[in-house]
Amino acid sequence: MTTLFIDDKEITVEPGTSILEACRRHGIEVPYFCYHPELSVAANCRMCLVEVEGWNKPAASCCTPVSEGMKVRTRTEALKKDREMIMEYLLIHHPLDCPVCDQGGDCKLQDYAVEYGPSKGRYSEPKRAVINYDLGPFVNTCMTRCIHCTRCVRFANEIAGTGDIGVLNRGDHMTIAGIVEEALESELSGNLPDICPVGALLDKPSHDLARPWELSHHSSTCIQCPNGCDIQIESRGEQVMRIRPVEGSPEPFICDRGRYVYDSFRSPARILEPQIRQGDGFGSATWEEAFARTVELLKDKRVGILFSPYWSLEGLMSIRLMRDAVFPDAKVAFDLHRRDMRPFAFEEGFSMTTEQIESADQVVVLGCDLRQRLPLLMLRLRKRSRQGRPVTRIGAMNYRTNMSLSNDALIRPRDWHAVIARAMEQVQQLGKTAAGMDEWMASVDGRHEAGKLLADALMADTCALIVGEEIRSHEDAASLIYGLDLLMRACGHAEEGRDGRNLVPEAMNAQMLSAVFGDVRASAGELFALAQAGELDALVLVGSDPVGDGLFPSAAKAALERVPLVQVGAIEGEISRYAEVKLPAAAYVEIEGTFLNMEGRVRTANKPVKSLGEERPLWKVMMRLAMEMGSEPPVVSLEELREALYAAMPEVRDACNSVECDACLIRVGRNRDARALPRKTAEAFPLDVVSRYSMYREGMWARASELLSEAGRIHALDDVLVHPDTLAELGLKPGPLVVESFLGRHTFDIGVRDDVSPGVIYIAKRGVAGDLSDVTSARLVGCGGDS
Amino acid sequence: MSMIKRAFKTWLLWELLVGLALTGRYLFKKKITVEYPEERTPLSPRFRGLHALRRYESGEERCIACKLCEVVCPALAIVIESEEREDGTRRTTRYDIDMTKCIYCGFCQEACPVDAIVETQEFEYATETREELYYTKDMLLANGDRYEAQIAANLAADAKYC
Amino acid sequence: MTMNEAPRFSEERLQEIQALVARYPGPQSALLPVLHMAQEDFGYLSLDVQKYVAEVLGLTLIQVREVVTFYTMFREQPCGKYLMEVCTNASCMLNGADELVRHMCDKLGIKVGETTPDGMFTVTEVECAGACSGAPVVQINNVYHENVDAAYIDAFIEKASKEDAA
Repeated sequence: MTTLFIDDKEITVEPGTSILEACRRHGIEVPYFCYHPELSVAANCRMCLVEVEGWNKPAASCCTPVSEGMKVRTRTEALKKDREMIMEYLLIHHPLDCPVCDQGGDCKLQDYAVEYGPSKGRYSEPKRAVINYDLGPFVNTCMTRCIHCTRCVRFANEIAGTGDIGVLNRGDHMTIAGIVEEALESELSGNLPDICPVGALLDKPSHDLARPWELSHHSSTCIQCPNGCDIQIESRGEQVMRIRPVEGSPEPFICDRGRYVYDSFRSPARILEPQIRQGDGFGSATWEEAFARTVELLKDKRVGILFSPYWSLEGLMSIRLMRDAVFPDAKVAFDLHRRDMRPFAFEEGFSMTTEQIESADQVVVLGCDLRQRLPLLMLRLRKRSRQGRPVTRIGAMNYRTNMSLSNDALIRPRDWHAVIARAMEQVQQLGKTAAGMDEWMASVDGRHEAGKLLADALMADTCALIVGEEIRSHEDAASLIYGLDLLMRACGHAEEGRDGRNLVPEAMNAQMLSAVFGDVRASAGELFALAQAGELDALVLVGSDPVGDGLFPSAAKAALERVPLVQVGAIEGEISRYAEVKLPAAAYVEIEGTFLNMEGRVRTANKPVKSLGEERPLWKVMMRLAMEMGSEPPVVSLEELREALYAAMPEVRDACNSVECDACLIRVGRNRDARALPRKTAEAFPLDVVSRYSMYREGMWARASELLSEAGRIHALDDVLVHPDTLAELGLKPGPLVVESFLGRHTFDIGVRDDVSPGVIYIAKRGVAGDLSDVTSARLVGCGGDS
Repeated sequence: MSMIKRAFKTWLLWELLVGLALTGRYLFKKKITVEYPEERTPLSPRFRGLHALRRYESGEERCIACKLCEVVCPALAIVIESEEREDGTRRTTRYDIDMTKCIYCGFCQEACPVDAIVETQEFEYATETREELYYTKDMLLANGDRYEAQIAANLAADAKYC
Repeated sequence: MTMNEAPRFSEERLQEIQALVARYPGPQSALLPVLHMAQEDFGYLSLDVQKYVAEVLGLTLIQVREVVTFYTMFREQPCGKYLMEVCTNASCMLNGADELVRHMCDKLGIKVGETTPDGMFTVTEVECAGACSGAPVVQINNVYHENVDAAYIDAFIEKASKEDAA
């Protein structure tokens, strides 16, 4: 540790820390524009000058590392003058349009101009004006206001990895410019306005709508992906204006999905009052009427319950309590992306934190589009690769990552067994083995060379294995995960403290779901099959949309044509047209609650946004349902509900009470006796089907959001893609082609792309190619014209 | 002695006479009252009366929806909503002043960076219902159009002291 | 190279570039010399040429654009066959550079920075050429002409026009 004196105050920091960072950490104010803790140091604003004793010139504190015994002064007469001059320079071309600038009131330049600037400018020559450029639907530009701190340039290069913003010209003609077609090719573009210290880059959707001082702030948790970032919701009155990351949380940025989903909070798709089906449409009803109809549909019936994992822990617990009280025999499903319901050797969730993954020796991503799935984890991997650390990826599609991968292999989903077996072989040759490995290998015939990459990575001291949906939704997922578990155990990556087994969950709260619903869970597909077979009389759907999302849309449709549906939720999906009754439950931003992210971090939302209509927190709806169905409600207050939750998961209580959140991560479930061996079943059709998770389309909230839909349109790929060789082998040309699967024959517009593994049909737009999501294999036959 | 003096004054109604003398004096003095509404007192250029929203000579409204008047208003009488107009400029879609709340402190016109919101010398706008005192953007702009000459003259008169 | 043709380096050039890139820690370091080569080969650095250079070196277009716009010696617009760069810095200015520029512009009928309609001459002003002893200096296609006056320029233009006609 290095000890230095800043303004005569003794301070101890790690060696190598910059003076500015030391000041920031100890609450000593030093003004700065271009420095950002997440970005590289540019030192071009010169605002952070400090005096160091013995140096004859002031030093830029952001790029000066501390040294032992250094004596730093941050407030002297000379510095005051320097800062005044720098402010005068920065303000030379800055327009005096603070009243119309959205940044006004929340602007560093404004604050510093008051605090450090001269009271009067001496510049009376004409100011320059700079042409704005279009950065797409999320970022508004007003480049005349730019002070050239280059934070946005560094953000585009380092964080987003797109490198499409740069500095053109020099001196007085210097401008920041972006080379973009329709929008920034980034899933993090919404952070640019936050990064910009002045009003040059502003949030476009909320542009000119509100001033910073009008906004009230609500802290909540984003549930749009399993990362569950802390978010700060800024609302003007009841209207949500912006969502921003929380300073000081583990995620310095948030993705566009989590940020711009807010316009769906007020979309017409919201369920804001109880509704009952009347003919083809719906009529509003009172809670009494709606519950009366619900009871009519559910009383003494065989019921299946399907819910979304996105509710708070309290909400999910209330579903379990309601089920136990009212439908003790009901099957419960929440996974829309899991075909294999056998227990996994390591259940969904991460055993490493994202920081640990960033610093691991090796990272292997198996079958996952991390950029769409977990943009914040992708950001960390990008950071890693910039430091020259390896990232290996194996999967069916060369997903765009905006970073360079050290190793990359394209495989078909049916080759996963062969890949793992090949890795086992190599690992065993090096003398590492685990009980059960021989048996596992023996039941796989083929070997795939991509396994070598996996085995190589496993040899490292720490290896983070990130297992994605291509494996999780595989028909034989349990055996694949058991195989990976064997590999990890053989190589010592399963021990306490070095556990590298991370299975990307479908959504939030995965640890709680496997702990609380482990004994009653079924696959959504199974539920639909039962309904179709007439073994269920009704379905209760609590906030998920199996028709719009997931792998069972056609099964869901077939089931819902047969049985009545009671929908409880905050927002309608494609499913709503099948509903008999709709009961409104409060959205995630409208409740107080606890959430669990994939790392097991407990997140709390404690200052909710006001409800818009008659919706009530889910637990109240569930308890009322239990009451209406004639049983005693298991809990009658949030405190009681929390006690029930803590009884089921005591570690959540500890984590909630702990100040240091990272110390109490909820552990992921492990099934030591889940010893699934590979099945030897031949696929019915020659081509594998893989569907894409798109952050702009997946989920009811995202689909109801116009902002995300617009971004989805811009970032869309063709509907269905295959490798050019796949078509060449079949003698076919891109265009409308017939796809034959167990669902029958359908025509799709097929495009070609090198990024898809040969032998794979890749569904880039799940919504459009909806029904194909159900299948795992298919065949391409002839042109579409004749069908 | 004082007893006699007091009795004398009491019985001769001395105070009444003194009082009447004062009345008589003022009866012949120059009058200082004005007979409102036929007669009016002069108003200072800084008089703070009814609000108005001004326009530029081109007819373009001045207000840029910076909301500084809204935030500075101690009585919370002003409500503004804004959006980006088609030509890319920032404009109000709503500008309401609740005259029943307004305390005529003049902070709004002090805060306005473009001299859009001003208080005129108009104070005779009493109405029969409260609703009529909720001024909308259109009413305020109409006020501006009506009193522009007066406003300009007042600003000019006051300019040298700013 | 005609305008519509996509810019391509010759094989020898590509080998030269490869050797150059190998000398540096990263391809970005070779950007300046490669841009000079491109300007030599293609006359000026159109957006297509910049894209091609970015492709050859494996950089993003903005990285190339940053460098091209930073340095005044990279041209994004086509220039005449004779590029006449007149130094107008202190020494040359005192020795009549300003009049010289005016004279050249009048004679050719163009403004500073423009090219004659026949594509022969371009006149630009530059900062100190570092040949103050011979002020005023005009650099014509990388050759310094010192102690230039109106007569010298007239003669040069005459000669160049004749040569071109022949």
